[in-house]
Amino acid sequence: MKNSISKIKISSFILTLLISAPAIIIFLYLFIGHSDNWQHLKETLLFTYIFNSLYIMVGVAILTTLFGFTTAYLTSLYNFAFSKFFHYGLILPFAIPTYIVAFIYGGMFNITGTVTTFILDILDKDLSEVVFFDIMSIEGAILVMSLVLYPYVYLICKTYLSFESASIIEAAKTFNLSSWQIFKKVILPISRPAIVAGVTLAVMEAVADFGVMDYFGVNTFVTGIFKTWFGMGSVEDAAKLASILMSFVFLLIILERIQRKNKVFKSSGKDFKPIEKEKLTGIKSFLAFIACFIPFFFGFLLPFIQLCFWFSISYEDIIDEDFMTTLYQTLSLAISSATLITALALLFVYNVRKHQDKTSSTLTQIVKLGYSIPGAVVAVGILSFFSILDKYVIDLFSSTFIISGTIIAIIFGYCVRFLAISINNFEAGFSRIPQTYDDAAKILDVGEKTTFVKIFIPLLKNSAFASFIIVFIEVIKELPLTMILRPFNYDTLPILALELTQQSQIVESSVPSMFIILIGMVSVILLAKNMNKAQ
Amino acid sequence: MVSIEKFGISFNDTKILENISFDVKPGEIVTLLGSSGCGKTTILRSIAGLQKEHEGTICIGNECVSSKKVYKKDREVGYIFQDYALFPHLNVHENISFALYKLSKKKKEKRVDELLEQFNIVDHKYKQIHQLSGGQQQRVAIARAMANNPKILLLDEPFSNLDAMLRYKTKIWLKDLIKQMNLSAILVTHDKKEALSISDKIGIINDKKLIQFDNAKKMFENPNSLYVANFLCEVNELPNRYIKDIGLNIKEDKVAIIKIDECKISKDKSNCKVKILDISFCGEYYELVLNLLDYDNTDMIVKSHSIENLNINDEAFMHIDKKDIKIIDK
Repeated sequence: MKNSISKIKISSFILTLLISAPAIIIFLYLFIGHSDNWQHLKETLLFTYIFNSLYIMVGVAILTTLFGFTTAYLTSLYNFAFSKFFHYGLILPFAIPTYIVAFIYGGMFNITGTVTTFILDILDKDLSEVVFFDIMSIEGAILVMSLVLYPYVYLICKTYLSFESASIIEAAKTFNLSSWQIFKKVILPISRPAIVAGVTLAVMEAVADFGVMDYFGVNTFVTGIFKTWFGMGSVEDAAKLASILMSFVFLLIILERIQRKNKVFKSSGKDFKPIEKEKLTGIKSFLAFIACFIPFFFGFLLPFIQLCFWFSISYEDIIDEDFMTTLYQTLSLAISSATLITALALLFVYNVRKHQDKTSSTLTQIVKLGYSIPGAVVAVGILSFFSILDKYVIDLFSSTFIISGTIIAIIFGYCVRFLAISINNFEAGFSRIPQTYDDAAKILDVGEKTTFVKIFIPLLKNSAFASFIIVFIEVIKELPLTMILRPFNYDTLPILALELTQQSQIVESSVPSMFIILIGMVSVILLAKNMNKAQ
Repeated sequence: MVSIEKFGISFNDTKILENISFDVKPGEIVTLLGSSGCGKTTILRSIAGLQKEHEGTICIGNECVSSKKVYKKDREVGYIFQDYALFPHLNVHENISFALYKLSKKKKEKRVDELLEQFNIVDHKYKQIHQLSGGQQQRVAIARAMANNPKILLLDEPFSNLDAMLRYKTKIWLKDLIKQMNLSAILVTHDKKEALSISDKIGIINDKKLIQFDNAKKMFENPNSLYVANFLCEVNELPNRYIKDIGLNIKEDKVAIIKIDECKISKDKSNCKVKILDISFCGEYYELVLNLLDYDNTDMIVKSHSIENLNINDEAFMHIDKKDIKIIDK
């Protein structure tokens, strides 16, 4: 088919170049020079970064599999006490950002934490007299990350076990195998690709994390990037670390894709029917309840109750004019970014629909890669990219306007990170619009603009709304990218929460944290309502 | 009138269709018949201007177009899609007026009302598409396609979403409409019964080519190849030695066929002894699977209305009237 170069295609091409520029620059840092500090960094801290990142990856992988797969297996195949509640309840840890859970656990379980002192008081003992697990450690970070991130494994495994594997499991049951034999010989092997897919997402999130690691004082690539950038003021070395981390993440994605390609076990049936659940009674039902209650309790209920309590005793001190400014800044940043990202995503996906060629879909795929790059890496890439741009603008136009450290830089960062979410929404939306609608409009001699406005826009409004809400929530929660790129003294709710914890005001940090969670919850309710209406 | 001359098309360097030529006169219904994926719909899409790159020419009226960007404005084509392509967020009135967006509001309203009247859907004017039955949806799709008075109507599997009774009624209604409005209609289907019952002419596509294009009745009676014969009617291929034994001549590149309902099986002796391998009850008739014992154990299928004295594994005899045998290209 002949390719007609249209304005929309040229725009997509330029935008792709722009959006991928930070990642390309970071990638180039793998091969180009470094500052004098790099040698010192390499000899002292690089090994720690690599070791800690690997340790976190392995730890999070094991624990998220344990929590996520066990709960998915139990809720997919069995009915037991509160199993219907756990169906949704086990997803709730997603509602609280990892760094907020870390702040809460830190406040509860550190040496002077509320729970620690409470237990020591009851036991009437000193800290030196008891075995104490220090939450403010790498193991503590792994535990907290796993408690919040296990829903990735839970959701993917549950979908797979409940639907796609139903016929395989039911076939296994006809051979009179015991539940344990079915689990070992059938369910575990066939679920492996789903487990790996979920674990990869959790692990990627863990290695890209800043808030938890910074608060728990764990040295990882991301905290390293911050230290090099803020402490040493070296963009080059931060970029070099970012380039290693990015390679790490891409390697992970490639490995996951390879295993998925080779080992996807799919039911031979075309239409998936849900699996028939077995009823558990007595002790078995109790044990299944406990297995699901533990991750739900520690991943959501306990931190949420603690947060509510701290909020109730501190909100009057924190909610003042400054706080309202921060809230306003967070909301306006999220609304403007979500609007822009939704519009850009529509442009990319419409370009693919209109041209239906390889170039257009490749451009979209490139842009979507941004989501897998950690926020800190994107931020350093943008800093490097804008410093080049700023220099060019100053040299050429003698202008004093610089983009670095402005809102533009942050919004650009969000575009790089979150366009993929929005594109996925529109892709799903467009896939539900038959190609014959486009053809019908063409035959009726209705122009592209009219077709776009009268047909596509109304049919895509739910996708656009979903995209807006999901990006909005992501931006509200975002921490590392905003930290690095924000203008001087420009706070958002996550930054305020982090700063309060850094000033040992853990209880007070519950206020911005609670607002983040509430805004997220309200948004999710709006999204769910909209989805119901659409259905 | 539509005239297709030496039409061909390729996708990613793979030839899909080549050297297709046929004409459709006003008031004529031509059906393109072929197996799924043979390229029937591609021909419709090319006539409508949706498939821009192709070989050969497509003439509509006096204007001939080759591979260039010309849509309905130049072609005056109405297209009924298999899924009707009705916009779900617009009601019946809005769906039809979508095609008339260039007219003034007053003219648009008038034309929509005319179409609603003509296609007997006035009562459904403000209904949403999902509130209509399959047949009503099809009428809306046709009304929309006819909004700009096209001279050519292209129909892609138009009856596939309708149940048997509705399919029958719609077929008659559509045939009348095409004749009344003197449209040149091209219909695409893989259902031979549908093709035979509605078409003036049928074109059969196989292996990238239009292998026979003829009057529907003529084609049914005189298929020019084994593929066409098999496609339009159920036939048995007779062994060449049998043909020679009954005194007919047959060349190497020809094949002798007989329709499955023109073979008779009984215990009365003939020169063709068979063994009955299976008998299936099919409602109005029985289907017998036979083995020609004296002719290299060739298998055949026979349709019979009675199976008196015949059982599975019986030996019996086949009776064929020589005049029912057709000798065609392999």
